[in-house]
Amino acid sequence: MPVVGSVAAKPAGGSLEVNDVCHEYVRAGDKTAVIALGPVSLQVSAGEFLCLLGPSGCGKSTLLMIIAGLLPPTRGTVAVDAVPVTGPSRERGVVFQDYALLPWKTVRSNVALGPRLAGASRREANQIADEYLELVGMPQAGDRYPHELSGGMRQRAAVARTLAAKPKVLLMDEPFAAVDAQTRGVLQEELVGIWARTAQTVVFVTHSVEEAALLADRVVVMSSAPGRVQEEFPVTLPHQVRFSRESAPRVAEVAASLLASVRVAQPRQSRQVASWSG
Amino acid sequence: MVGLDTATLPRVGAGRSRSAWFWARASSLVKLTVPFVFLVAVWQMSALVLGLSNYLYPRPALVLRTFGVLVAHGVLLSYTETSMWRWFVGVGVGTGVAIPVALALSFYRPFARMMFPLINFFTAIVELAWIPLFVLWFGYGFKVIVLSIAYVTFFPVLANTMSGIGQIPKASVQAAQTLGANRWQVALHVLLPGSLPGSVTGVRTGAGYGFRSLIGAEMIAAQSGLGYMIFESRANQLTQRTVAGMITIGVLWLLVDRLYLRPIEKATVERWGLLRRAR
Ligand SMILES: Nc1ncnc2c1ncn2[C@@H]1O[C@H](COP(=O)(O)OP(=O)(O)OP(=O)(O)O)[C@@H](O)[C@H]1O
Ligand SMILES: [Mg+2]
Repeated sequence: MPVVGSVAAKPAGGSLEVNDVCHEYVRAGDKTAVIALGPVSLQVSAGEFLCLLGPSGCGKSTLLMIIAGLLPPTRGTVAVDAVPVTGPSRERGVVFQDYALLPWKTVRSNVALGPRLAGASRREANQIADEYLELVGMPQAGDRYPHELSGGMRQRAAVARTLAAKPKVLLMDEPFAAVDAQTRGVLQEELVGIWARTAQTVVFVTHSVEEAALLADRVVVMSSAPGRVQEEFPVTLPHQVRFSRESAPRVAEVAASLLASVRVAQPRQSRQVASWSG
Repeated sequence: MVGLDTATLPRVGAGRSRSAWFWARASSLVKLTVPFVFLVAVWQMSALVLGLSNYLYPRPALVLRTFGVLVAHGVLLSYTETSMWRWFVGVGVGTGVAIPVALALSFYRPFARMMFPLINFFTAIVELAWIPLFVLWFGYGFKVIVLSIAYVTFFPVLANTMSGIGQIPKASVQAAQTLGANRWQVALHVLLPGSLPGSVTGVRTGAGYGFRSLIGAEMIAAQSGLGYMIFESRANQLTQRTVAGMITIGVLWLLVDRLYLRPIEKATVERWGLLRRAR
């Protein structure tokens, strides 16, 4: 495990409150409304690691965008530390489902952007960027452009970029979906390590029940579209032991109960066991 | 034409890639030259057939000699320098104003939509129509010419930069915002680089408009430069100088476009096209 100096302990992350949030997309052409989400209410305490599970299209990304302040909800409110969210901010970092790296910047400049915007000098920012690139296992890729990377590498670069900005609340949209199983294992453990040190609040969207069982303090399972909270599972197993071989059966047990809940959440006509094999 | 003969020789010999480069160059030179050789031939022939005086229809040989005279006196070089400098500054000013305006308009979309009819209105007013006013305000010379070049450069750069901004993925802007970028930082880190291919296309178009505007403005409002030479020579019954000036303009544009504008546009558009495919 690379040791990252700048990933030092920080004050606890923000508590998050989602109140009765609904979202309707209005289609550009015929102006019909598509109800995509809600109503959803969630309380996430400061420093908590929350996983969101739910069928495809149930509004997980929509909810994350609303929390990020990038999408105004049709109804309801979001607040961080009791302060209403009105727009995007460095407090709430996002790992986008489609990475959203800036194609005209090198990977290093992408990752360095957060520190740069926070006022670090170019040298400092690049140094921080290199530390985080090492953390996600791609220390050699700094000088390359996003289009020169594989999908999995782009995703890791996006994770590094968001982490390097040190947000209070981390919003991650299937951040390891495109990464191979072995790298994913390493990254999951790294993420938990960083989270333990920084005490950031994390909202982590995933399709994998195993991943949720490995990472979460609490798992929220959402129903099919328009997504609502269907069931919540606290995961009590201590984080330090979850990645050990001995804990594997306990983690699998949690995953199994999550899977059962998720199957209920699936819309009847498209219930497929295969898509939940994680 | 040496190029014509050698281009048809078989391609053999050592240093294959270097000779390939040479042949590619030679053949593109030939392709560039042939139509002009044809043009001169038509010109010479028509002059013979028409049998007009050199005052009304100067012959190629006379124009060639005139070039010699103009070069020897240093007029051609000095006028070319003067004109190109005006053009360069004008295109620079037009671009330098258009890009920030495009960024500002993209911040205030409803305001931008309100401005479009106005922009259209001014695009329609040819810069030559402005020159009487410009002269009234600034007198004859550099300022008026630069202003009219900047005027015609402004619109295509504005339009193309705005359309370039429109093509930037929303997620790129959102990513910067969640990393802490304010409006101006979004402009600097996302909108400006993201719209560069559009801006470059706009500058190339605008530079072309500006080049024409340069000659027009120099005819009316200058005491030096190629446009001035073209206009004054006719008045002084030196038609061959007018034609020499016209040829100079055409050649200059070909050079600038081939050596600078096109390669720059190609490089950015290609690179950005490649980048666009992968975020
Ligand atoms: N821009 C949009 N316009 C209209 N409808 C949209 C738009 N974006 C999303 N939707 C719809 O809103 C619903 C929720 O979409 P969202 O992307 O939040 O789902 P998701 O849970 O993240 O799915 P996935 O797991 O596949 O990523 C979907 O039914 C989708 O079709
Ligand atoms: Mg999604």
